[in-house]
Amino acid sequence: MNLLGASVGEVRAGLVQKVVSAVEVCEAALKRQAVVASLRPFITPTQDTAREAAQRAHCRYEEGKLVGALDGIPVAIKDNFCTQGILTTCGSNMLRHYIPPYSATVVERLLGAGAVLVGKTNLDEFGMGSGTIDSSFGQSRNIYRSGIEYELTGTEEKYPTSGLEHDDWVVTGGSSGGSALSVATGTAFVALGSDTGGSVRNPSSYCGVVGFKPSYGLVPRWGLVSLVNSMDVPGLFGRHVDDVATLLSVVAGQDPMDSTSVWSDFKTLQLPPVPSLEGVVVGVPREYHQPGTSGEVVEAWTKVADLMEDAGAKVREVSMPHTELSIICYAILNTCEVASNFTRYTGVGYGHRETVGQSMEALYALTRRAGLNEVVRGRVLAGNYFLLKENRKKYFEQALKVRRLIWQDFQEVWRSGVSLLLTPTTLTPAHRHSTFSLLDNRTQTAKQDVCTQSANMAGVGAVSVPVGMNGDGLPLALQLMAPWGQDAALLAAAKWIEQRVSFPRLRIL
Amino acid sequence: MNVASRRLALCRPLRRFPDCPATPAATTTTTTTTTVRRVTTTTQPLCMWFFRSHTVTGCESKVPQEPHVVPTPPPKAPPKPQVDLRLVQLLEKLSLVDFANKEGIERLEAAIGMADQLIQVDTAGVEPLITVLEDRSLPLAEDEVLHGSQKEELLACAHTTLDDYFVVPPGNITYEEERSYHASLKQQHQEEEE
Repeated sequence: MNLLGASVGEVRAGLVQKVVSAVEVCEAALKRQAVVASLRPFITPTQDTAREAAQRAHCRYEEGKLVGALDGIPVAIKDNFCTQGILTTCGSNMLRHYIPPYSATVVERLLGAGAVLVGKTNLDEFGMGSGTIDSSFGQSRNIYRSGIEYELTGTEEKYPTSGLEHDDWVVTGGSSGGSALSVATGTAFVALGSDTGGSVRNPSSYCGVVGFKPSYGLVPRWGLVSLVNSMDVPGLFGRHVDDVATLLSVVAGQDPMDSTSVWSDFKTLQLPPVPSLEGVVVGVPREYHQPGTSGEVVEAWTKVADLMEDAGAKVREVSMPHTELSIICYAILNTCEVASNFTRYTGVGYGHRETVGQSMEALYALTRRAGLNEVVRGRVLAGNYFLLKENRKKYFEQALKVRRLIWQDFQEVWRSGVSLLLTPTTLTPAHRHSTFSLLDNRTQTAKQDVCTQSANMAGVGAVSVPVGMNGDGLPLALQLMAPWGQDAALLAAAKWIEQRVSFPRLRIL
Repeated sequence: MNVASRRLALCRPLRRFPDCPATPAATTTTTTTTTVRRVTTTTQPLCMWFFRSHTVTGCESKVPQEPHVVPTPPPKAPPKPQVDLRLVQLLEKLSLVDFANKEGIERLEAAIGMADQLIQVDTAGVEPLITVLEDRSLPLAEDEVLHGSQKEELLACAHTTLDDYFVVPPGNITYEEERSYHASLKQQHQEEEE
């Protein structure tokens, strides 16, 4: 069996039948890390911890005393989730040496289900960015066209797989680029990321993996370093929709430590083996065809919509007129919440501290200058501008009202009988670094987040599914969204698409 | 269904009815939270997916083949944001990020320029949306200590401590960075006055 390309279910079956041991699975994943290290999926590989966990899992399998759905499965976690005793940096100098005294709830649930943590993955600093090129620990590179040898199986088409000319490379997308990359390269079977404006769906689209943003509140945020409290959601990566569903069953559920987490019963979630679209009404929002969308994305979108219709779903065009406002609204709400949340970084209780003595204000300002990059500091400044007494109503409250307009767009669509929305995830496949880096972070995120951001505004579940490849050998993906709480139906529909498009599987040689 | 006939199926004009039906009200969706749709097994085969360059007859697809272009903005555009010395100093005092320099100002002006596009949106009668969970009661924890006695672990996270205290310099001194932009702006301002 191609061990690292298998699904979680297949590996578990192999572990239960003792065809393979948890130690072997772990070693294979760690060996793969060495092969793809130049792409930088990880900030902190946790090889020793992984081996210990794998050994314990192995003993459990020997004794037949399994603890959970992910027992013995290598997982990766974005480096903005607190992991007790393990460096948690958020990709920032501010937390370069920070070792949390506690673990995030989702981390505890993962480890409690027997998962083997193989590393903390790279991200744009504090989750601000859409390329994973703004990390203080180096840039992550996409596996596709990276120069590392791989083949694409499951397709008769020939796609280029060689490295790019002039040492150029392809971005992973962001901000959870490291997590997407770790799953795409087989260094982990599933991974956790965080999604505030598209930070899970964007890199999953670029890296050819499934990226799922659960409905707000289903998966608790205790231990996820705060960016925008009203939009942050732990997100899930996997190569197969079923694996993502398994991961959701492990991490979802109310948490007394997070008052914005809600009750749900996903613990026994199992997607149907062959999902059906009978009776499903799919909406195609016209505003999601933004200027700049590449022809191949529109083609994929069209073909999947038609496939769904052929299979018995009703597909119709809908309108969500406030879609284009989402990015601007986000630019205000994000910066305001950041300005508030980031007051905690002073160097006093934890994190980096400049050694200046004169005044507390100087300590704070110089520590924050040294610890936070310009993207972060720029957002703090902008947020405080929008929250000034004279500006608060004009910007912050106005943005909150526009947020309701965006949310109402979704409500109208659901009320009209639509049960799923089908849109592109990103306007284009992954960009080459040479073109991506021409635009500054803020402009770039504004362009990249345009299809993903509204789901965070409205809090609805959204999933990105890879559906094909373009002529350059880069993945293409589409996004599905469903009403709040309908994540099981959402994932079932994603599985339906996955089963019909036969996305070529990447296999590292 | 073999591959050849499937390819043919992709090439023919997309099936569409001339009187494309209006929203059928009969379709209802139940909004149970976590039920998975019960499935009737289908005989639909897995099909190979080819992205060739043949064009799709766009006028018949539900997916819009042309980009959605926002109508031109109303004539009264807001003025370019003016970020003056007083504002910069105030923001820096609130933010303490030592970004009151040329680059910080440029970023700020760009952010404001973008945000200004939202001002003209008509939100009369619209309530602010603070949280998407506004329609439900969220649990509050009981006022009881569950996790305590972590003094050592918490102090261990800090760079500078003394006994059980976090150490900070005095807070009653104003931070003035002589070399920063707002100081040089102040100087310019003074020179202009003379």
